[in-house]
Amino acid sequence: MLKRNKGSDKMNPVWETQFKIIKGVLLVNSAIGVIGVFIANPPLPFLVGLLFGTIISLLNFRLLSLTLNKAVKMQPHQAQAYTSIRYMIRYLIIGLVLYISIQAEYIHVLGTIFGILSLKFVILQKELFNNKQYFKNIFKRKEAK
Amino acid sequence: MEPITGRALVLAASAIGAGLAMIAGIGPGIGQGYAAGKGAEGVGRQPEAQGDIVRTMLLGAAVAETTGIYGLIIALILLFANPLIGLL
Repeated sequence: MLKRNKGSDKMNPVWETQFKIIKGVLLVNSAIGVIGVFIANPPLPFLVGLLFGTIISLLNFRLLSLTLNKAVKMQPHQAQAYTSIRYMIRYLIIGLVLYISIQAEYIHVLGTIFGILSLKFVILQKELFNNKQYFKNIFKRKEAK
Repeated sequence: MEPITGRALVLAASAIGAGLAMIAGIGPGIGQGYAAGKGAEGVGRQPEAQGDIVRTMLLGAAVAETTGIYGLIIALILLFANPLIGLL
């Protein structure tokens, strides 16, 4: 088993990735909020929804990280059951959040949806589509590379 | 016997649609569990790679989870904020 000091937490690749993603989500959702102020009518419910969705999505992401960190130290069959059960709990939380957003008049459900789903696009942008060379090579023939 | 109104028909179809949309939530659960099991096997085989394994799994699981949320959003909107009722 690997031993880790408390001080070396910042060097942990999992923590670094989480920090990068959280920062990206906050940036993207701030931009969506600024755009929403001009587009949404009235803007306050949209902003409240966006804030609500962002907070829940980040907390869910943290919960996912804690779950996986614990699961990899278990036996494989235990890890499988543990992760699936924790997924259902997170799914239930998201369901409750969306239900509240739909029912409450002071929260716009579209803001909450943007807040929750922006995480996926940030991950795709930061980890998958972060290579400019890839985009440059798309339209090149293989022989020309 | 009372005739079936358009509103009742839309509500019934929406409920069936919501049920079908919820099927999308099952896949990511199974997939995440399977990935975590394989991740645990990988860490058991190579404990020094734990950071990289968890990192890759975290990103994959987060993206997969969003796919399940799409279905949940569709189901909840069909049940509690049905836009089709307004069209009648």
